[in-house]
Order: sequence, then structure tokens, then C-alpha cells
Amino acid sequence: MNIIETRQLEKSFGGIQAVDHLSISIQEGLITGLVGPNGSGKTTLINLLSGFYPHDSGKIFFSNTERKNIFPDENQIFNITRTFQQIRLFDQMNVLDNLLVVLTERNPFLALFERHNKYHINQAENILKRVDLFEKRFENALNLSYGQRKLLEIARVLAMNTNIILLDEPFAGLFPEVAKKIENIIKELRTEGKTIILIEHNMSVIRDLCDYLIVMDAGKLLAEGNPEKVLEKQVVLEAYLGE
Amino acid sequence: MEYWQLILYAISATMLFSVLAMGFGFILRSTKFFNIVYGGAFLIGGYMMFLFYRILSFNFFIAFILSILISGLYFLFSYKFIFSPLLKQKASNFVLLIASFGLLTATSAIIGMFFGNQTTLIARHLSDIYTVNIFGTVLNIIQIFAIVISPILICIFAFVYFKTRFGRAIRAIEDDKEMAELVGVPSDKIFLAIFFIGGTLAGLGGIAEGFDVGIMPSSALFYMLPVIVATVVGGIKSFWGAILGTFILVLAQKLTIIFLGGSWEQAVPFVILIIMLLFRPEGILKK
Amino acid sequence: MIEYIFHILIIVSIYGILALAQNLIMGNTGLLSVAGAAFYGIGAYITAIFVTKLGFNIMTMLIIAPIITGFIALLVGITFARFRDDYFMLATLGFLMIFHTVVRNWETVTGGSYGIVGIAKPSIFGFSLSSPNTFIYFAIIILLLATAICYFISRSSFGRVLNSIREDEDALKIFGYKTSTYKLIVFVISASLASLGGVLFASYITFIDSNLFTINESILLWAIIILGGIAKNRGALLGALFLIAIPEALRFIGFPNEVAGLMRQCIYGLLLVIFMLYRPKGILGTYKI
Repeated sequence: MNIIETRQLEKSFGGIQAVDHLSISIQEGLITGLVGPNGSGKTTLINLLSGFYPHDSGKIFFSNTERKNIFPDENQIFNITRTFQQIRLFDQMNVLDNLLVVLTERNPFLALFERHNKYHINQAENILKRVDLFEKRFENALNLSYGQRKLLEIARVLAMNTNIILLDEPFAGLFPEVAKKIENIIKELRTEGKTIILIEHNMSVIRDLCDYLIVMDAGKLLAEGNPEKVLEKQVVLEAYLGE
Repeated sequence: MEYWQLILYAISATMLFSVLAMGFGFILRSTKFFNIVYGGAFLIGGYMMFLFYRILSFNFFIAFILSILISGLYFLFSYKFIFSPLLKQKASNFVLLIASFGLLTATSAIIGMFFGNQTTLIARHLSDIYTVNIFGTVLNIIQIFAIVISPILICIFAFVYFKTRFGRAIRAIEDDKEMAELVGVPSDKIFLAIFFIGGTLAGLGGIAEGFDVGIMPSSALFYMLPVIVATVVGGIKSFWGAILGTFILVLAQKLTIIFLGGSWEQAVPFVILIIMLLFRPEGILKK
Repeated sequence: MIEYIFHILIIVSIYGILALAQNLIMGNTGLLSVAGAAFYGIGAYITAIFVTKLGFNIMTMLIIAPIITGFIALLVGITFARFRDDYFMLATLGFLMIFHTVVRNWETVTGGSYGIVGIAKPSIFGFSLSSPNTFIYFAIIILLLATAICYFISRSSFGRVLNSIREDEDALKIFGYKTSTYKLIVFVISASLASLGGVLFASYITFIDSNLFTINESILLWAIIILGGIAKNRGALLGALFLIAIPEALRFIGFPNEVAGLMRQCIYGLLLVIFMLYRPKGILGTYKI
């Protein structure tokens, strides 16, 4: 089932066409890789899907429902969550709080009267144990190592527990042990039936993880299909080498 | 009220304010925050003129040059010792705004201590305020000055901004500071120049108002708000935006006086600001 | 002498309440608000008007003033809560100016530039609170109430969301939070709390005019919470103690009154600059903006 579909999607920034008549569809329950040279529009696409800014023209569909005026706080309604290329955590708050804020009550009036809730704290601690951050739970996010910060981002994704997960370069700059942890978590998420879109540059990770591959270049769709086959295509190689 | 009087008063107010707003626009575009210390330079210019011309009885031109120099230096030093270090630390706008309010508060307090909190008029004796009769309306010399000098100043600045290397360097910094530095633009020196010149423009405004209606320590904020609103309304990224914004603001104020009476005049900048921020925060003119 | 110390403590309590309120919106949520003095003033004027013209008593004002002020903040906040940081600051600055314009022009109600005098001294159940020795208990009780409210908020999930808004509002939105609603609510609560300070002030000093509620008061509040350390309730209280009590005590050193006031204003301003340059976390603080 096409859980996400875009039709003739367009977005430009002051004359630069970041996404150009893009029509793609994402299958439910698969890990779809989104690759392409720098500046090909991958992050812009993720930003458009997650409501970070509105698209100029074209349509976006989630499970055949159109998402028109996109606001980021509607992500929960559309069952999407995402990470950022430059990790965005709440630096001056500790690990536990960074996670709790994802778990606690969204409604402001109810949130006013919600206090140290054992249920939420338990949930948070379990997730932290899953990503091996439990011991650091009272540490400020600022003081974590790069790898730990990436893990905290993943922890927040787990806490959101949405059907669709957009990951923007989750493996960038990681040591193998941490990368392996994240890889395993992503595989677990697929087993749970989640749909994952993964922006990545690391080819071996892509071959390992992705069920489907979409290649972008200069905002357009360049190629798509089975990862092995796509990566052998002439146009794809040229796009990467030519840059 | 004679319509000519209203129109001529409006024109002279627009002219003066647009020079002020133009100067502020330079600071806003390059440092990207609303630096309220500009109002401090306004005060310093006016009060220094009062000190040199009125109290120490210096020659008018010497007093004028000194006052403008001092207000320019005041603003330049504020950059050198406060805003430059903060900007280098990549301080957030929050921090920059707080520091600028802090400095302005301290400045107006010091001025209040030396010169008193009442309205201070620089004019030495009544004949200092010459008046001219045009179309049956009476304009004083400050207003004439404003109408004549301001367009000249604006043209000079426009020429420098759009046609000289210096101006191109300024525009490069406004666009993308890091990029500009990479291609060799000496951003620190340019900032020093912008702040000095901005300070002199603000000081000029303070002197003009000091002769016209008088100034007091709280004038800084009083004049800053319309200046800020003018730049926001006209377009924060555009050189001509400040001037357009001033024109719109003065027009709106005069219309308000005609239709609603004088006491609501002061609310006009605020109302226009809110409307602008709700519907088009970048302002009217783009780049 | 003792009476003078109580007097200082009363002023400290009033500013403690104002600082707690300012801290909610500025320290916790990270919104630079210049309007602190405006809501303080609105609370004071509401008290003065209702007590002198309608014969209300101070205890009722403790309920009425926050409600009216909160309502005004709601109307104003609905527009402002959506603005980005710099523009929010400008909007609150404009609101402060409007407050002054309204107070100066609405002479029949607010007494214009002359202000309001002869506000009845407060009394509870016939027991007069007019002297510092008795008013102090009243002031401290209200201070404790305000402190309790602020702690309640910081310890709740709502408080955690506020801190997240300060840290990275856009990232927070991704998780499904309507941040402008939170900002609106905290703006209203902050305004209502600040008005309590106004109620205390008006009933203690018994005369007010608009010169008491200028931007310099707002700047003073900034200095208080930054000195003490933002986002910490006890920072706000400590800052109030420091910045109010010490200059008051220094009055004995004998500066003439107007100069003393300006001297303090100068120091508050310079303090802000120095702290921004060298220690944005403040004394007790753990956060910086």
C-alpha cells in the first residue's frame, strides 16, 4: 500500500529549485532509502513531508488523504516523526526530560496538572535502556558525546511510536558500535511494521538495510527500485561522480 | 488647520524620520537585530549639542561637528566593546537585545543625572528659531533644513550603497556574512564604519529634534519605536524600505489626527506594527 | 528602624512576585517581554480605580485584578503568541507604550498624568494593615502564593514544555505540540501574577501614577531574573532581594533622591550588559539563553 505519495511536488528557495516536479510513492512497511548527491533535495523533501515548511505546488498524500496546509504540529495526526541532520535536542535539559517531553500530555491545560507520572517515567526508562542511555539519563543533552546524542534522537523516535519515520542521515559520523546499535533498532522497527525513509550516504548501510531506493538529483527523481540494481545504473554513478 | 500646513509639516517630519530610519536600516540589515542603542546615539547627539552650543557657547558649526562625532563614536564603541564580542560568540538575539536595552537604559540614566529629566531645548534664544512663510504656513528653520538636507543625504547614501565598492561590501555582509568574509570582505572594519555613520545619523536626528521641540532622556525610546516600525513596515531587507515605511507611518499618523483627533496619534505606530507583523512580517519591499 | 526593614522587605516581596512572573515568560519560555511593567501597572491601576471609585476592598482586588489583567493579556496574547522572538519583543514594547498612552489620555478614569491618590489603606475583617509591621505579613503571604504557583508550573509537564520551547521551539513542534497555545497560556498567567504585585503596591503606597510603570521597571525585572539566574524560581527571588534591598540600604549613604534613582537605573542597565557579556547564566543560574 502506498502510505506516502507525492505528485508533481515543487519547492524553491529564492530561485533555486530544491524539489522539482517530484512524483514518488513510498510503500508501507518497507525501509526506503533516499539517496543522491549533496544538494539534490533529499532534506527538503523530508522537510516538506514533515510539515517544516509548505510546498509551492503539487500534492502530498498520506494513506490517500491529502495533506494540504502543512503545520509541523500536525505530524502526530499524520503519524509521522523525523530526525534532523544537525541533531536538534534540548541541550540544557537532561536526557530523561528530552524523552519525557515526547511522552507527556500534549494538551496544555491537562499538561498543567500532570506531574511526575510514574507511567511516563517507566516508559522513558525502558526506551533509554533499549538505546543504552539509561545510565546517562540525568546528564544534560549538551554533555553527551556525538554518538549518544544520535541515540537520544532515536530514542525520541521510539517514544513517538509513529507509523512513519523519517531519518535524516542517522549514521553520519558514527563509530561502528553505535552505528550497529542504530541499524539494529531500525531493523526492529521494520519488524514492527513501521515505514521508514532513510537519507543516507553510506552505501554499505544502504545495501544492508534498504528494501527500496529512491535516487534524487537536482530536485528531480533520477532512478528508483531495488537497491543493487539502482546503484549499478549509469545515470546514478554519473550523478555521484560528476559532482 | 490649513491643509498646506499639514502637508508641509508631514513632509518635514517624514524627511527627518526617513534619514533616521535609513540609518537604522543599515544597522538592522547587517547585525540582524533591533539595536536600540541607536536611540542612545540620538540622545547623545542632541545633548552634546546642548552642552557645546548652549552651555559652553561654542561656535555652532564646531559644536555640531563635535556632537555628531561623539554620537558616532558612542555607537561605534558600543559595537567594539559590546556587540562585536557578543556577535563573535554567536550570541542569540535575546542576548543582543537585552544588552542593547541595558546600554540604552544606562545611557539615558547618565544623561538624566547630568542634564535633568525635563525637556531640554537646545535653542539659545528665540531668534535661533527662524521662521519662513510658505503658502501661508509657518515653518521653522529646522523643518526647512529637514526638507532640504534629507533628500540630499538620502541620495548620497543611496549612491554609496548601490554604486561604490564600500556599498557592495556592505550588501555582501547583509546577504551572507560568512560568505563575504571568505571572499575577503573585512567585515569588522565595515561594521565599525556602519556603526559610526549610523551613530552620526542618529545624533543628527537628536540635534534636529533638540532644536525643534526639545528632547529628554525618555525621548530615545519615544523616537525609536516609530523608526523601528518604519523599517519593519517598509521592508527590513530593503534600503528604500525605511523611507517608504516612514512615509506610510507619517501619512497614517496625520490621517489619524484628522479623523480621530490628536490623542490617538501615538497609538498609530503600534497598530501598524501589529497589522504588519500579522500579515507580512518581512515588510512591503523585498530586496 | 525595624519598620524601615519591613518596608524594604515589602518592596522586595512585590518585586519578587513581579520577577517570578517575568521569569515564567522570559526565563522558562525564552520570550523577551517588555510588558512586565505594563501588567504590573494594570494591576495597580485596576486596584486604585476600583478601590477609590467603587469602594472595593483589597481582598476582592486580589481576585478581580488578576482576572481583568489576565483577560487583557489573553486578548493581546492571541495576536502576539504567534510572533517570532524579535517581533514578540517589539510587540510587547508597543503594548507598554499603548498602556502609557491610554493611562495618560483617559483622564477621567486614570487621573491622567496626575495619577490616583488616596487609595484606601487595606484592612481585613476590620484589622488595619496600613503600617509596614502589619502589611509585611500580607505581602509575604501573597509572595508565597505566587511562589507556590510558579513551582507548581515548573514541576508539571507544562513546565517541561516551556523549557523545551526556549531550547528549540521548531523542533518541539515536530512532536505534535501547538506551541503558540502554550505561549499564550504562560503569557496570561505571567500577566495575572504580575498584576498581584500591582495590587500590593497600590494598596501599600496608596498613590500611583504612570511614571512608576515605565520601561525602566521592565529592565529592572530583566536585571533581577538574569542576576539570579533564569528559569529558576529561587533565582528570581534572590535577584529581587539583591537588587532591591541593597540599593535601599545604600540610601543611607546619602545620594539625593532623584540622582539615587538614576544611579540605580544606570547600574541595572550596566549589569545587564556585563552579565550578557561575561555571565549569561547569572549567579544562581544553570541556564543561559
